Amino acid sequence: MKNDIRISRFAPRLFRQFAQGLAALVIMAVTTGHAQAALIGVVNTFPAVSLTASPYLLYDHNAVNATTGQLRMFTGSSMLAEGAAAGGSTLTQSYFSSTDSIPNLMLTINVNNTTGAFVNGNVNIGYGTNPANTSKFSWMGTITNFGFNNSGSGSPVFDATWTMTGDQYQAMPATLSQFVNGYLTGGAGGLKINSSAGFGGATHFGNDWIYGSAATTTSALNTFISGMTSPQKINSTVTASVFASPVPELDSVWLMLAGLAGAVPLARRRNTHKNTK
Amino acid sequence: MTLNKLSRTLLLSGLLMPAFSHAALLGLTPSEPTVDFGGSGIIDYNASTGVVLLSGTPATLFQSTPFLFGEVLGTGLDDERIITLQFTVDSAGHLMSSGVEPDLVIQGSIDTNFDGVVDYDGVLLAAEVIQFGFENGAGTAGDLFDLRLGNVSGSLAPLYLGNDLAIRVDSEVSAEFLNPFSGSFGNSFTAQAAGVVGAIDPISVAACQLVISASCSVDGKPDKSKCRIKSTKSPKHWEHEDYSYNGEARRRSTYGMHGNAIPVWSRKYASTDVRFTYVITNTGSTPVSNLVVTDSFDTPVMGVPSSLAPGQSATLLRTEALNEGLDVNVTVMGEYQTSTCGDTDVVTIKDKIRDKQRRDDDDFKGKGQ
Repeated sequence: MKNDIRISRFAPRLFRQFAQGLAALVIMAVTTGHAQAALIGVVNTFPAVSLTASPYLLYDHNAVNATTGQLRMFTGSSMLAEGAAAGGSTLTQSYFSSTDSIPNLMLTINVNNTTGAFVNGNVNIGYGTNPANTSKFSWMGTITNFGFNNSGSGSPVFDATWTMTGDQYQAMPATLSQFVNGYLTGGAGGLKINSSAGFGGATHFGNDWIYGSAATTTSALNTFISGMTSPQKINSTVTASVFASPVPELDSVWLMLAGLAGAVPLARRRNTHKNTK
Repeated sequence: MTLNKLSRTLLLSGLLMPAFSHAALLGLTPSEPTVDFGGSGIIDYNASTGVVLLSGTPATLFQSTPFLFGEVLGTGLDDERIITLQFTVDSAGHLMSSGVEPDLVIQGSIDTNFDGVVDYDGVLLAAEVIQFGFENGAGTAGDLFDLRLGNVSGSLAPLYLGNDLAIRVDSEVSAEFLNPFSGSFGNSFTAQAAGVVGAIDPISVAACQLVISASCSVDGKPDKSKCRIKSTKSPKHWEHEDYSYNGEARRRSTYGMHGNAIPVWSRKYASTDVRFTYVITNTGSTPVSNLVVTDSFDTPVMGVPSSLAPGQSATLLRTEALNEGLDVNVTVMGEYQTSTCGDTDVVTIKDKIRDKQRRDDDDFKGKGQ
């Protein structure tokens, strides 16, 4: 009885770790391993948030310290999509207003500015500035790994894995009623950043740069680039998607554990039967 | 991640094999103002019809300088906000005529100054695809598609005045779509799609060039531009025929029976088999597609290729039983993107009886009797 209590207390966390481990296994399984690409090889899932309204990628090679640079993504809007299999509904929220044309910070990723190796990072998709009582969402989390495409072309240019630490919703429409506070919290996910201009490889982490649809002309980013050193401004179509999956329900855990437990004696019996032949 | 999704993801990982890569992307970067659509979009290709259909939900209209922003909201009774793009390709991925106009339609409503009043409503953008490119990503890399569109219309069209539209579509590897683009348009596919529509400088299309050379031969003699036959009596006759090419109405005169039965009386009049040879050559620096060859007969010219590469030629043959002389006008037409080109030639069939008439001052006088 005591053991049962201990198992049930720790099972959700154990299974969460198991599920995250399995997700990581999947990610590793689909990683191509090509020498020219250091992408993780993340596979999209739903629900997902697309960062829209011409996102900008800003990188400052010594923003954190002499060896650590910081990649940031700013955007003016985000779109939550439940996915076609769930019904295909979407919800768009913006971060602009009649007096605010400055995009908001959505992603922060710190990397080694020589190798591009991941240091740490976070996802910070906040509530939109839509009027009160209109639908809004917020996804927060910790980035757990990061990869980049150093082949100079192709899609995506960056990918990452992350863990949702908090998701909040307000006044969600009936078509997206599954999104309640904490629906995805604790779940594992991924993100992808695409750019029509290719990424130049690990050495590019030693420079300061801006990618975006009007990177060479916009003044909306002036606040964010004041500390950067003569950043290269590259006009590029940047898109990004951030996705996560709910933590598996407890019923599924027990079903799978029961199945595994049942398989052990069966395997033993078959092994015994084989040995007696 | 649910077990169901995990299992699908595992299945997907098993299906992902090293793939070959095309480098046929146009390399277009849509400029502001942009209209984007998120990851809920779908790109679908039917290999049996060649139709590519992209559908999705437009999210925002954005321009940084001067600042212009609005969420795309629903419009009409159905509160619809949708982007649809439909066009046709051949099995090699070459753009063909879509058959549906316009190819791109973005519908919705937009309030651009945050005053709660809609500033753009209904069909926001409509346009025709004039170029298509694609790139197949290997492994877990996404697939890319880009397109150039012209003939821009819709309530947002004034924002794109003097420009073409460019669309860049990112089709990422997704656990929800297990049959993505494989690099071949010989196979159907359905995949996730997100992208951006924006402005791009108008294309300067090189003019295509075609040349046609027509000749005739009787009784196996060498090909010439003029041939002789015996004149008897023919039930065939000339009629006007209306047709269209590239949406343009045209009229020509054609010679034949025009669907009527051959009368019994004509059997007693001998005819001469004339073999016609038409050589069409692409003399320009661009490929030429949508080739059409017409001549003066009321039945189609067979064996016309769908396209010709620069410098490439094709030879077409037809044999007609003739009882009287006529001028056979031969025309070839083709197109490259927005450029249309063509050429004509004439083969003359003369009859011997007419040559015997007085004051007949032509090349055949005193010959062939």
